[in-house]
Amino acid sequence: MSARWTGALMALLLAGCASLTVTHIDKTHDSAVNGVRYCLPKPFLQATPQADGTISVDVIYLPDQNKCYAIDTSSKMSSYTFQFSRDEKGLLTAVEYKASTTGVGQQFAASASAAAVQTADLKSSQAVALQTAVNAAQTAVDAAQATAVAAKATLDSDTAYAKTAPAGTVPDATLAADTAAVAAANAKLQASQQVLDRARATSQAVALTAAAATPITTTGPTMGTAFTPPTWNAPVNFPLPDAVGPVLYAINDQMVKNDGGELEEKVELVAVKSSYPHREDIVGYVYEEGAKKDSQPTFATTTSALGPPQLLPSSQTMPAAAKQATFLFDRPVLAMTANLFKDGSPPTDTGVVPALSDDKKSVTIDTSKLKPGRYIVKVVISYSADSAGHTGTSTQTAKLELT
Amino acid sequence: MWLLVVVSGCSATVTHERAKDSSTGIRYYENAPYLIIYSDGKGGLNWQIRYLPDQTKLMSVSPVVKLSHTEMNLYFQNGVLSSGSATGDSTEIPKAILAAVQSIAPLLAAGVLAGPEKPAFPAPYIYKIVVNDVNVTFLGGPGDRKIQVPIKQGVGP
Repeated sequence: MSARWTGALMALLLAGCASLTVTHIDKTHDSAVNGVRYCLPKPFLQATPQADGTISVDVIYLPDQNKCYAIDTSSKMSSYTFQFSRDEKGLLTAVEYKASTTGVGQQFAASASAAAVQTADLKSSQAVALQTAVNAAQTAVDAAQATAVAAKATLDSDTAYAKTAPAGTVPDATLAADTAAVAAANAKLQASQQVLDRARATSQAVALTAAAATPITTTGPTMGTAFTPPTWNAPVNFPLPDAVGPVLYAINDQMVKNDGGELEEKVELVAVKSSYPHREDIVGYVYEEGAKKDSQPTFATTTSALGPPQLLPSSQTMPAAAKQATFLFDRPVLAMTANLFKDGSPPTDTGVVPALSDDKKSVTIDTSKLKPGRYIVKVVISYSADSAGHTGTSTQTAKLELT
Repeated sequence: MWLLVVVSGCSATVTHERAKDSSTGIRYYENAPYLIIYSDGKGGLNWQIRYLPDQTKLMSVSPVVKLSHTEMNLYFQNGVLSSGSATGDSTEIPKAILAAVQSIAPLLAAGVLAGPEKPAFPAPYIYKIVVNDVNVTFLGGPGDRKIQVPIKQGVGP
């Protein structure tokens, strides 16, 4: 294989690569998959009951355990940087991936170029050396050729003269010497020709110092600076007015087969239904029609921090002609004893007894026989202190002014 | 000559495509507008348009690097690729479509507006807003459970 095609093949074989691979995870092979985990979100609609009888509606996102993935990175003869961030729910928020596979190629190109230059220098030196040897051999052949021609000319001259001159003019020894000279010149010519032929066919060794290519400086990708330690949102506290929680509806948007077997899109809100472990229903809790405990189970709670029912308003003014004044408790009491005093130092009992209504929530006072002035309502109540059946007592007063 | 063979193999791409079982890229959702309607408890309605992840459009993004450089910066919000562009809210929906939604909301949530014949609070509604040219289609319906809400205990005559 020529050096040219060898270089091309080497370039392809040494090509670097960097990859980012994301694999779906399920329980069967979770431990065998490498990489940082993240999940796609599942949106839910949260309907939270409010104390004023309304609901608040929020969209929340929870990780979908059926759509979790592992991000893995690898490189071969290349360089890369990889950063990612997730929120507190494990949802992916950002990914930065930078890869460079040119470093090895650059160095190879530089090294291959240096090697090619040295190869060219070597071949050039060898060619020069060969030509020098050939030139020298050719010079020797030319000299031998000239000597052979001269010797032949001398022999021919002496031979021709011997034929025409009187006998003995050209001694036999002279002719013999001429013949010998010609033979010697031809022999030398033949030898010189052989040297020339050998010089042409033989490569010449030359002295050349090989030098390694200078390593080039390559710079890998730089990790970005936009990634900072994430700030995870503080959990939200949802106060609830009752012993039941909010309703979580899964927002499902999927392609399903209709009755005809064709795929069609279906969007629906499906309430999350769960029994919740280690929980007992509150006995006697009454659900309104349409609400069900599978989507809104009860949880144990108490009213111990509620305090006694409050008599309201704390002060009111009524015209004496109204003949009746009414006060209310913000929640029902169990029982009540009450008196109406004329404000003074000291207060004096008017003898009028405030009456508790049948629903145990309101107090009425007959003012038809009272004169205009300031009065004090004093009540002593017993009330339900908590859901466990404990009771408490409380003494409260309110002011009434008749005009 | 051999340098030409090397140079011809350079490439750097970031590919976005519909996710398949064989995909190896980072999965994310495209988003879509959804209409949410629920009672205000006083005989009226609350409605809002929210851009949510479209679970029918799972995408995959992957970089391919060959004898080159590549950079990929992706930003996600609730599973949706945002990358600096707005994820959208109702203000980006054309006013004509908003008007159509506003006018049809009471009809879509007729059960809510009829008033609670039964004490439980009516379930909210959700509809996916599908816009095709000038046609607007709503896909969805009410939740399958009503809501237990304590009746407001007022003080007064």
